[in-house]
Amino acid sequence: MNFNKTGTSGTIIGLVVVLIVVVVAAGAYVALNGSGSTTTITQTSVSTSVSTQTSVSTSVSTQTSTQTSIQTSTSTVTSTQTSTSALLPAATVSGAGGTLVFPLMSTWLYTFSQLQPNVQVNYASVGSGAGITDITKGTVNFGESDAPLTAAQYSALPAGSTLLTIPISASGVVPAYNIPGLSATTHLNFTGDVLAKIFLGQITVWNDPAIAALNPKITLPTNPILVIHRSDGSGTMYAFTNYLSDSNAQWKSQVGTSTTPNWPVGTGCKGNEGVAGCIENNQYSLGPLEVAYVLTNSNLIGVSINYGTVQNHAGNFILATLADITLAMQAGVSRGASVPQGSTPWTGWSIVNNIYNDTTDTGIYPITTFTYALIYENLSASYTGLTSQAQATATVSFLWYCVNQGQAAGANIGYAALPANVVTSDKATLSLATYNGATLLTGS
Amino acid sequence: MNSSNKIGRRRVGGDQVLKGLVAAAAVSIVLLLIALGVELINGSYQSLTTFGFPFLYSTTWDPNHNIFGALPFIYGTLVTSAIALLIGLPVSLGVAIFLSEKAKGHRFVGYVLGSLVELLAAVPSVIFGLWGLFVLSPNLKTYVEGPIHDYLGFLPIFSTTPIGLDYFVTGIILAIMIIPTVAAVSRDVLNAVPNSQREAMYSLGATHWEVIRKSVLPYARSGIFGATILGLGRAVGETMAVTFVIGNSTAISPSLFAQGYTLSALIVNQVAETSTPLNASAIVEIALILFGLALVINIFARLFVVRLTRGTRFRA
Repeated sequence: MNFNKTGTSGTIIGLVVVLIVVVVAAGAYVALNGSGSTTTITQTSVSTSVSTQTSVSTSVSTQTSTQTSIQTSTSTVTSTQTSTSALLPAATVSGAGGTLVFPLMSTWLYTFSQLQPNVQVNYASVGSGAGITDITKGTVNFGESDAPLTAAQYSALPAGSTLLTIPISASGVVPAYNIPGLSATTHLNFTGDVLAKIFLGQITVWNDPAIAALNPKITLPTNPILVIHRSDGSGTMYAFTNYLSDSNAQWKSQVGTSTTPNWPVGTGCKGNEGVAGCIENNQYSLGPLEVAYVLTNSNLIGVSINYGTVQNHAGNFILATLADITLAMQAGVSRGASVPQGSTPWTGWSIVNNIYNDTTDTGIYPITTFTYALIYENLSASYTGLTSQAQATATVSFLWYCVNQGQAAGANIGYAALPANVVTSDKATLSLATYNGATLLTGS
Repeated sequence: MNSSNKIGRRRVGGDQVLKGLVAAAAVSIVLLLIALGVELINGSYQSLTTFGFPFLYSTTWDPNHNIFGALPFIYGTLVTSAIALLIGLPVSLGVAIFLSEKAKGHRFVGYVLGSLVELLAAVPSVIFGLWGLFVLSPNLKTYVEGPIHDYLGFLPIFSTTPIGLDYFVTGIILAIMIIPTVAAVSRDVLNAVPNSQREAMYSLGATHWEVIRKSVLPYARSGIFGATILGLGRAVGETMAVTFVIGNSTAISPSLFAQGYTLSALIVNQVAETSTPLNASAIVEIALILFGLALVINIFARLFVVRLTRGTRFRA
C-alpha cells in the first residue's frame, strides 16, 4: 500500500515537473524570439548613434515602430558604415586568459552583445599562462595575457604561425598599506629601490631611515613592516617585479621579473581581493595592489587601507590616477624600445622598462602595464581552431571593439583608456589578420 | 508453463544487460584511477627525470629560475591535516555520541541537529575560505593566537607573531570542514551498534558513560577509524579554503603561527601561470605527490580497519 502510494505521488510529481519544463521552454522560446527582433531594432539604433547624431533621436523616439526602424537602418547602410557597426553574421567566439582584465572584459562581452546580437563571445578567466597555452593549442579563438610571450612560449607556437599581440587595456600597481593613525589624505612616498629593499627583507621597519628620508613630514611608526603579496600567478605581480628589477640590481638577479616570483619574504594572499583583505586585516602591512581596487573602494581609503605615491624618473612622486596611467602608456609606446610591429616577438617589452629612464614626462605613473589579446595572423590556418570566416570576422571585430569603442567603459571600474597612439598601432596590427588572404578589419 | 518460460527468459536477458552495465560502471572506476595515475606520471615525467628524488626534500620553489622542490608543501599539508584531526576528531566524536546515544529519546532534537551537521558538509569550500579570511582569521588572531603568543611565545611552536594567516588558522578551518563528514559517518556507525551490547552493560550496572566508553565505542572503532580517514582525506586534499588562510609562504617553520603552504594550494595558485614546460611538469609532480599521499593514507586505513575488525570478531 505504502509503496503503491509513493509510486502514484512520484508519477504525479514527475508529470508536474515535465509540465513545468514544457511551459518554461515555450516561454523561453517566445521570449527569445521576441527579444531577438527587439534587439535587432535596438542594434540599429545604436549603430545609427555611432554614425550620425540626428538619426539617434529619430530611432530612439520611434523605437516602437518597426517600420521607421527599418527605414533608419536602410539609411544607415547607404551612409558610410564603420566595420563594427554593421550587423555581423552569426558566430561564436571564445577567448581565455588573464584575470586582471576580467571585470572590464565582462563589461565588453555585454555591450558587444548589445551591438552584435548574432555574435556570442565567451571569455574564460583562467590566467595568463593558461590563455597562452590555449591559443597555442588552438582551443580558443583569442588568447589574453598580462605579460608578453617568453621566447620559450613563442617557440612552442605551431610551425609557420604568426601570433599578433594587441594591447587591449592597462592597469597600474600601487603600494597599498594599513598604518593606523595616518589620515586619508596622507600618502606615503616610495621609490622603486625602497620597495625592492622592503620586499627583499632588507628594510624591515616602517621608521627605517630610507623610508623616513622620503617622508620627512610624517611620523612613522616603529612597527615591523608586514609584507603582503599575491600567492597566485598574476600580471599585476609581473609589472611590480618588473619595476623592482629595473630599480634594484639585487632584486633583478635574485628574484627577477615573473608572474610567480619566488618572494624572499612575506605572506601570499589569493587574488587582488585577497591581498586587499590581508592588508585591511593586518595593521602595519604593505602590499602591491591593482589600482582598480583603491579607485573603486574610495570609502575604505584612510579607514583600513591607503596607498602611496611612487617616484617616476623625472623625480616626481605620483599618486596613481587613470590619467597618469594613460600618460604612461602614451610615453611607453613612443619612447625607449620601439613597439614590436606585426610578427615581431614582444618578449621582454614593457611600459615599465620603456619609461623607467625617461625624464621627458613629469606626470607619468611608473608601474603601468598593458594586458594583451593574442590572435593568429592567418585565421584560415588549421591550427587556429577557427571554423569559418564569420567566426574570424567576429573575433577581429570584437577585439577592435575592445580597443576602440570599449575603452570608455573602463573609467568607472578602474581601467585607464588606451591613448590614441596605442589605438592606432592596435588597428594596424589587427589589419594584418587575414582569412584566406583577405583582410578582416575594414573601414574606419 | 509456456508463457511463464518466456517471461523467465526475458528476465534473464534483462538481468544480463543490467549485469553488463553495472560491471562496466565498476570497471570504468578502476580504469579511471589507472588513467589518472598514468597521466600524472606522464605529465610530470620531465620534472621526475630532471630533479629525481631530491624533489621531495629540496625547499626552493622558484619558477623564474626553474628550481623546484616540494618539501615546504608536503610539510604544510601534513601539519595542517594533523591540527585538523587533533581538533576535529574529538568534536566529531562528541557530536556523534550526542546524536546517537543522548538525543535518542528526543527525535526532533536529533533530527534538527543531524540535518544541520549534514548541511555543514554541503557548504562549498570557497565560502569557508572567504569566511576564514575575513571573519575567522582576524578574530582568532586577536582573541586566541595573540594571548597564546604573549604567554607561551617562548615555546618554538608559538614563537611567531601571529597575523592570522598560518598553519593554526588553516588547521581550525580544516577541522570545521571535516567535522560534518566525520560526525555524520560516526553517528551512523554508532547507530549500527546492536542494542544488545548496551543492554548487556546496563544489566551489569554500568553508567551511561561506561556503556559508551567500554561497549559502544570499542564495538564501533573500525567504523570511526574509517570516518576519520575520510576526514583526513578531505583535509589533505582541501584546496580553496586553505589557499585563503595558509599565508602561501615557502618558508618552513616549526611555529604554528608562521605562514606556510600546502600541495593543493600551490597547484591552484600557480597552475594557470606556468612559464616553461618544466614548470608545468613540476606542478603535475606536486599533484602526483598529493595523489600518492591520498592513496597511501587510504591503503594504510584499509589495512588498519581490517586488523581492527578482526580484533573485534575475536572479542565478540
